[in-house]
Amino acid sequence: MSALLKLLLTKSGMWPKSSRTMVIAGAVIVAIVLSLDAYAHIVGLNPFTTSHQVLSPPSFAHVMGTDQIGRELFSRVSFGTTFSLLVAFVSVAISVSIGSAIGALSGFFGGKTDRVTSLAFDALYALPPLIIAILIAAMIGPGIINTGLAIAIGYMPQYFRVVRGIILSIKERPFIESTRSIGAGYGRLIFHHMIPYAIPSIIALITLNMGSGIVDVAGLGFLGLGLPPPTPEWGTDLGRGRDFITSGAWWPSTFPGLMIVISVLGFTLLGQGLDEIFRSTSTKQKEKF
Amino acid sequence: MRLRSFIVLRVLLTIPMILILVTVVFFIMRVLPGDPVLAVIGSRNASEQQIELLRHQLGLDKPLYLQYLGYIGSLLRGDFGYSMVRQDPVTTELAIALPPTIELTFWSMLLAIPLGIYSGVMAAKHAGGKIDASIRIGSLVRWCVPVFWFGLLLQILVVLYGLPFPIAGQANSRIVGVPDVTGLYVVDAVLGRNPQALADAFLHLLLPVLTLGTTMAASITQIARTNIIGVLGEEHIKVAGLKGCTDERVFRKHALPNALIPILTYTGLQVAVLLQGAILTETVFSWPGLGRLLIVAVGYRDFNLIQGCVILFALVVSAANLIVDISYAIIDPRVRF
Repeated sequence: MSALLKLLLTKSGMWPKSSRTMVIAGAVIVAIVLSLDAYAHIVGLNPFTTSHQVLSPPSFAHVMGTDQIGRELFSRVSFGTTFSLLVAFVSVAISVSIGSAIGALSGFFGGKTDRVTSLAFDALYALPPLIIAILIAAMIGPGIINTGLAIAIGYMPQYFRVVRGIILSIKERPFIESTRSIGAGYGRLIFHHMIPYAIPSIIALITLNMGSGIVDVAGLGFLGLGLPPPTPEWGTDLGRGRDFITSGAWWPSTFPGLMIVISVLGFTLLGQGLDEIFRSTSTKQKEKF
Repeated sequence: MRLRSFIVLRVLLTIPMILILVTVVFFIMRVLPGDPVLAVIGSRNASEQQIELLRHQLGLDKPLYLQYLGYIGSLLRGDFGYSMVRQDPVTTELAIALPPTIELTFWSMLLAIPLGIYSGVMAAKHAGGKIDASIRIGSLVRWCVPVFWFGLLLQILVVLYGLPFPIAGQANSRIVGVPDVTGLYVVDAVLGRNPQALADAFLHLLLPVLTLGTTMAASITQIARTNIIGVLGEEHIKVAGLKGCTDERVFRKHALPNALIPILTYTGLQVAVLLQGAILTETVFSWPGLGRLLIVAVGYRDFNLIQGCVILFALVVSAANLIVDISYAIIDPRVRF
């Protein structure tokens, strides 16, 4: 892990130029989103107070206007950051830990168990993540952990495949055999000597899936299966706001969407940039661990 | 291995996959909380007996393994069971909802593939230049815009500027005289020689297809650009140039055909993303397709209907993967061995 940080920090001059631009742009955007979130908490904006000024358009008094029950859209949108990022983070954390753990064990021990788990994850892979999320979310109901779990299951096959593939490719290498011959247990072999090879790919995947996780959280919210109102959540808010489009009130469904795009763009840029960097340096870095 | 046996083997391999998926979905839904009986009865004051009766009618009082065996048994006979909400065989419901989804996804891909490949080609030809940069940024940003929000933005534009496009539904109910042959409105309008209905069908398709099509085009653009640039760096391209081919000919005859194979493969594998986008697009535009059906079924925990939708989605995805694999085997004989 420390070797990885060193690689990121000291060798930044050797990164391909376009991926460096992507990483920096992505990091800046993510930082802006996070500081908007921090601002909402520090200033103490209240996303729940209703007022009589229902659906008033954006003005100096209400930067983004107010929604159908007179709540300040700006405070809802900035508070929504907390919930969207939190649920996306929970989902990524669940899918990366379960997906890669099963992938590592399955690839390491092989045999029948490996064939069965691979088939099961392949079957899961045949369904789009959002469809799985819809099924699970409808069954277990909303909530930060529940919604996160619903989204996580559809992404597990990705981590399973990546980690299993990497473990399979290195498990016959001489250094694993020699480590085993000096008495290293399975746990130490897998977690100390094999998983580190998968970390760069996992980090890139995590960052990219933070982006798709945010879209999925909003998608579930839009379909009415996400965090329930009055929680300020972008997808739920813009889904509720769409009833007022025909009467000309465009702001309740525009600004939450804008925040989704900005934060997804940040994580996607960061993820794609990191992916390119790890790919370009993967040959040099193999000796470093 | 001969081509035919490759295809047969590939088809046979999808059967256990679908079976496993059905099993996983079947047990996930029954193990997780969420009672279909209570969802159907709702908040009405039902007595214990009524609840028990309904549970018995739905066959939910039997042991889990009997329910499972019964379901798989009838599935093998082509019977998807009965929908609790719609009081209809699941196959009937699926047959009604399938054509609108086919129509939506077909026209979307018809827009996405040429648009994506064209902009990918333009970006690759000017790699590193301003055109390339703007296409890259444009497709990346479009890729990050959620399908449903893009649809809402189109609706907002239509409303604010009073544009004459319908923002919801699949057809204008006032238009009559269209034969109901295929369920595909465009095809039916052509069969019925009804130009007014044809125009109406296309008008209703416009916004949903723009929404879904540009999303797909954004990802195809990115993959097309990468692949074409990769092929342009290969030795045989240099050779073609040294032989004296013009740049245009090198591009058309030597680079593009080689790049098209991975691009089309990738497009085939994007079917899962396409279906996911279709569900959201259908919700935005009140499009009466499979996505809407799934959302309704999920809302009432209509087990049979949900399972039917899931099987159909999985079949479509694996059929697409199958077609990709087979066409790959035809183009590249090495895959077969």
